[in-house]
Amino acid sequence: MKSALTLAVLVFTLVPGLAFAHGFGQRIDLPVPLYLYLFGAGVVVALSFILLSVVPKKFTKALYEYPNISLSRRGWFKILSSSWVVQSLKLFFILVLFTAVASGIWGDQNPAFNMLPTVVWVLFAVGVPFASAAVGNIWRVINPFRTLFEYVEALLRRGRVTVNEHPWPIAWGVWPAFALFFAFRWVENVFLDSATPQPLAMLVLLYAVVTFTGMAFFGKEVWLKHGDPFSVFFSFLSRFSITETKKVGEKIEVHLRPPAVGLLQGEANVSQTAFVLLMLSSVAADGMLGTPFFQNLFSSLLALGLPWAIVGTVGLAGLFVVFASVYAIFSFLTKWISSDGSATLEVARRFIYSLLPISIAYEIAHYLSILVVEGQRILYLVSDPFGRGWNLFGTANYEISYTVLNLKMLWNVQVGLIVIGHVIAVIISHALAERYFKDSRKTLISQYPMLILMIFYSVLSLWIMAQPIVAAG
Amino acid sequence: MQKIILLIVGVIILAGGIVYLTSGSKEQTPTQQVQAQKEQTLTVQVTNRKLSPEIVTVTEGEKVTIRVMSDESGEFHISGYEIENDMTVGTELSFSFTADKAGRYNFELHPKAAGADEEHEATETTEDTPAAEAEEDIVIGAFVVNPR
Repeated sequence: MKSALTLAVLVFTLVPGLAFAHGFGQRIDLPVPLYLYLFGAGVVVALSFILLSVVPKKFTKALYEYPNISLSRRGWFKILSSSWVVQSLKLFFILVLFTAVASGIWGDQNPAFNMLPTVVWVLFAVGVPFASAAVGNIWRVINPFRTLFEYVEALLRRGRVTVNEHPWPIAWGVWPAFALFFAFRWVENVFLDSATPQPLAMLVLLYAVVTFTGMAFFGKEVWLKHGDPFSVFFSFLSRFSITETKKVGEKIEVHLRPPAVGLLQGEANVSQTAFVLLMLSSVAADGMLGTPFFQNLFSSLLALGLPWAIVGTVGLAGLFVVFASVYAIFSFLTKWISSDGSATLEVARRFIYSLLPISIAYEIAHYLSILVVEGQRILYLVSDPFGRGWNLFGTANYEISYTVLNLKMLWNVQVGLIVIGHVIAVIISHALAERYFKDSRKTLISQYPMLILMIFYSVLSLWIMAQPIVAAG
Repeated sequence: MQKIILLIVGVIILAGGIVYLTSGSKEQTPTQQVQAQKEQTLTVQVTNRKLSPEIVTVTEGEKVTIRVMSDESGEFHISGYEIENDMTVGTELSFSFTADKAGRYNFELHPKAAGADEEHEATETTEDTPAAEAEEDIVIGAFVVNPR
């Protein structure tokens, strides 16, 4: 989103007479200093070698048979997951959705005084992914669109109306979710009005129509699993998290587990592999399009008279193509160096989840400051969601504190996150290789290409964060 | 054997990195301390809704004086710092404050409502919503405060 704002500024400085309403989505963090960037990159490379040589088989084996604790049997969790708590939580998020959309339509159109942009771009687009990757797939519980649909279903059942559900074509995989997720990233990074309340409200309503139609046509669970971009996105992220649901006898229980072990479960199909690659490329897009290199490239393209809609769309799609091609090349190298008989595509499907930790680490490092600083807006917006001068909870005059963020500490956290994400990725990839190649020499050799790819990806993340500031952004 | 070589290579790189980091941070401290006690006067210009220089860099804790000349009347705003001052064409605006918040903030121009600025009329004929003019926040540059 940030790059959309930056570029909006860019576009409008090129087109005199137009102006851009700012004040929303500003990031205050500074680029990671060069010495820390180089140090982080060095550590990433060094640890890669060390890990490859010292990770014992016992450890990678333990990742498949990890310890886990049932939370569902704990007293506090029983209270937390009791029907009335969950139902009131669901109701609360419906209320949030309705308030935010109403604010978008009828409230003050300055994004800083309207609840919708903060709810969508900070709490939903940054907060929910963080929580999904850390805690678990909370979206399954709080998704207000799901809850609303459940209410409608209950009403229909009472009225004895039956709806025909159509089977999901297997060939579709998660491609509809892929397409919609691309649309979401397009709105975030390319659409210039993404932070303006009214257009944003229209987009939320459009999404609601698509989601309801999908759920009605294919059935709720089927659509959310294959067609809904956010449910698919959050469920991939929650593979990294410390909780999982397990079927114990008849009941579904929530279990506590070590982080990241969920990445070893199951195998991605082609469409899921593509979705994860889109996650990787689009997370990088926000930071990457803001680098001086791309800003210069874009402004010279815009100066040629190309419209931003085309330049931005091609940029976003191009980045995906580049990520996918690079991954395909390295999958081929993995297959080739380990002289494995399987197809390149199969190798690609096997190892794709091992890249998620790096992507999650980058996402958190990149958006942490936005969540901490911009997230504070909600404190005054709850008191005055429509920008009408109300003061419902007495917090309407709250002013954003910029000093909550210690920039020096943030830099260390950012570099630390990348290093940790890299370490986890290397270990996961190693464990995956052990499962697929069986023979230990092959396992070790097969890791060289993936290791180079991971180093490249982690160092790219660091590089983006160390890029100098482009003015007016 | 292969594993031992990998381990040695890794440890060497790691050791090199730590040596680099410790020597790098030593060089930085003295210069930063000198800067911290400084007072800075920065002269900037607003031309065609763009600040020159576009990026103004200071260090946290510095006393900063900003002098602005502008070709357009309006409010000169540092977002985050919430410092707002009126600018008039032909008169230099000068104000001082302590840069006590590290980070990157925007210099914004809030132009005078339509009609008040005649010299921009030529470019503003393309503007189709003059009513929105009054609320414009135009980002014209960046104010960077490096942490101490």
